[in-house]
Amino acid sequence: MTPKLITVAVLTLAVLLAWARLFVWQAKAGAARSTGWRLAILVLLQPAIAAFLFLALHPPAIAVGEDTLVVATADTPSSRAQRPEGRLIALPEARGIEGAQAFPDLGSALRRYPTARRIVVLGRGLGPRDVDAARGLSVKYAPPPDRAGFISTTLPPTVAPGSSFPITGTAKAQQGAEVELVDPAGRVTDRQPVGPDGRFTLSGTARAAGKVEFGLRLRGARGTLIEEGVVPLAIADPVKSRLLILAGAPGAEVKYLRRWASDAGFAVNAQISVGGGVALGDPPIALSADTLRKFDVAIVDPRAWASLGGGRGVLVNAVKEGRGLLLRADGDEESRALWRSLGLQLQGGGGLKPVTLPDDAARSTEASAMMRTRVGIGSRDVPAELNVEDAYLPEVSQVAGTWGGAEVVPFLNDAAGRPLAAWRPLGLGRVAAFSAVDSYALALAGKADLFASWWSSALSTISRPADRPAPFEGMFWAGERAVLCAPVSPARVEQPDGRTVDLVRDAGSGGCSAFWPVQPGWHRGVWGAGQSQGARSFYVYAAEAYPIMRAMRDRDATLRLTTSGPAAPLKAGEMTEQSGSPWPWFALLLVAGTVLWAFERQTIGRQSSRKADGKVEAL
Amino acid sequence: MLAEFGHPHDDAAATSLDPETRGILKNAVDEMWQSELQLKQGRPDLALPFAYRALRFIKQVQQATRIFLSRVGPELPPIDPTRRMTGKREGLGSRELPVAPVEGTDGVVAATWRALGEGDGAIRGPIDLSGMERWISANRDQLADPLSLAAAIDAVRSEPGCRQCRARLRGQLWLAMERPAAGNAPRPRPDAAGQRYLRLLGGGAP
Repeated sequence: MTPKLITVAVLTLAVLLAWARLFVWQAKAGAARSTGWRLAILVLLQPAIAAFLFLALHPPAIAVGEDTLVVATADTPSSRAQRPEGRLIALPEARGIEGAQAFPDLGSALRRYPTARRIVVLGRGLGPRDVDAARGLSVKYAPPPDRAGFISTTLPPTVAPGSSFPITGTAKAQQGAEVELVDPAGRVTDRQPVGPDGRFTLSGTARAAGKVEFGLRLRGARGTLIEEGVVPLAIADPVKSRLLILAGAPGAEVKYLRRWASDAGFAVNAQISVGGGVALGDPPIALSADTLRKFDVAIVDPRAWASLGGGRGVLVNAVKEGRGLLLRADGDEESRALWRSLGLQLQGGGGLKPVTLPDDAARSTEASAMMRTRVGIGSRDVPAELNVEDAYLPEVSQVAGTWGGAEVVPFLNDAAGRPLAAWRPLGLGRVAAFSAVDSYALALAGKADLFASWWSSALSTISRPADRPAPFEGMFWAGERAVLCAPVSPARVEQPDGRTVDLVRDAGSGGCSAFWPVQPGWHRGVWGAGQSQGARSFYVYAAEAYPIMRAMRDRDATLRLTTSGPAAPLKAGEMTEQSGSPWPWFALLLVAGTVLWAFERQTIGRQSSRKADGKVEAL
Repeated sequence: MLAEFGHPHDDAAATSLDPETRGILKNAVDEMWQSELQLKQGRPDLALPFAYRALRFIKQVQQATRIFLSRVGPELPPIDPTRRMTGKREGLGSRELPVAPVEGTDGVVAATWRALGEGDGAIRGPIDLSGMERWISANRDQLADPLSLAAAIDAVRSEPGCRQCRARLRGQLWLAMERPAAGNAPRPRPDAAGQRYLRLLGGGAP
């Protein structure tokens, strides 16, 4: 029994009783009984009053057409000024919005008001939770002015133990602002100014394999702290890569390359020709597709390349299958010709020019302190401080010119920002040219870390890809929906506290799973089982981390919605019904009641009213 | 005199036996004599019953010297369940045993550093830091501030659940870690679509 039915039953009963009373009293009234028309009015007014009372209690629904929703998101000003017309709804991030109807998400609001075809977004913009719900609607959004802070950061996808890694990003700040990289021990390890376009590049040094969090600070012109964030890095477990060194003659460069590569965990096979069919180094191997399949990357100098003969084609085919080939410089013209033959054009210039090295002598005490944070603990034989204070700069030169070509990517900049090397894709692999001719001088002059950094960076760029899965794309914040995409949709996530969350797998999601992180820290997404099992660590930022970056992401996503086409028109069946106002019906009830009461009090239409004595008996 | 020239007959095992056993043995000797008598007369069949009787007496003596115990289980007093958990319990508590970090090729400091963090090799419960302490005592002169490191270790050991103490120790360990020679960090392998794209770019078959 719904309330409506109960009301109908009660009112019907009341009408029937009223009619019965009317007829009983009409029969009893005798001389004072009503005339036919008066009785008819009284009989008809009873159901009319009942009907008005029913309509006042349950006003009929009225059809409503299109609707505009004004959506208050985070950072919406609470003042009513400049707020557009429409139904105001508040998402959970919006605080202190008066007169707004609160909804847990935009989808709920749209289900409640299915006729809404236009939304006006106020504040920071729609987050990942609501962006999909707003597709297909006409979105109007005027973003708030930008605030100072980090806008984006780019972290290296893989960092080898002990290597130097770059952190690039953009920040919005006033002229003269600086960014600082803080190491896990709390020491500032790099400080760089923010460029006029907001870009910055920092570098830090890794230690052992594991998960590490560096700090990132944005300071204003006067050193005031504007924003602080965390830089999560996963230092990869060392890989035992196999390196083939082919040298046309023995030399210091090959010697120190071999030494560094062995120390850095490469399995090195060096073939050094000394002429006349005599070779030094490791046991000779025949250059064939099978033997080259065992190597990840090869370093070849122009003299060795010239003497390879048919081996060149085998080497190039191995590169096309995914291996890396690095062509070392060995003087001027020969190197240029070799590089050109493999599509790496070094244009302009001629001869050799010196490489700009970081000038340690010109450093301030503060910069010296930062330098100390970049080296690890020393040993009894080589104390950590041994080379930090050393001001001697070796002379290192490179083949002059600028890299050109559509596919050529210059990389590995020296202290002056000029690239030392360039690579281009060749099939699945990469071929690179390294233009420094005597980098071994670094290792001799106590700058072994710079030497290692150059060669590690060069070989990491071109080496055969590891069998590691690519990281999950995007940044994730606690308390916000995260989408994890992998070759197979991730089945579960291991949280920082060790507990595991099973994810719902959607066959139609194309290898993606949604996860709602709760705690900040390192998580691990696991997919597949048995042989095809894979896992990838990802970092979840605290809910309050990088607010500007998050705001910019929401802003951009909402702005992209505004450029999408006009809203789909409302279908006929989608007209919503809204309960109408009861007040008109109440007024009618009042009028009808008054008329009935007044009519019953009057003697009009009574048999007795025609009598002279005027004695009236009430009905 | 007797000890020098004679020899006593009462120090043998047989003379130290109790009279009852001695009587049985005497009977056995008697039966043996009878048996020998018949044997010497060339009638071994008649000697046999005496020999059997003698053997029975000897077995009797042998069995009488043994101690026989019944085979029974331990007879402990029954447990009184009403007395359980009624004694003094001050200072009692469950104890989680510390786990020693698994050392890789990069030394105990790196292993402890990983154990204190999140991700692979992390130990969320108490950590056995004795290996780390041995390393500190051996490398004291390489450390800039060995006392702070020791203090941070003490803090973690006394409060294994204190996240802040673990983070502080992890920061201190960063100062004690060596920087290995930078090695190879290969890029991730492109997926199937990426590989096909690269092959097509190179002019090869997809």
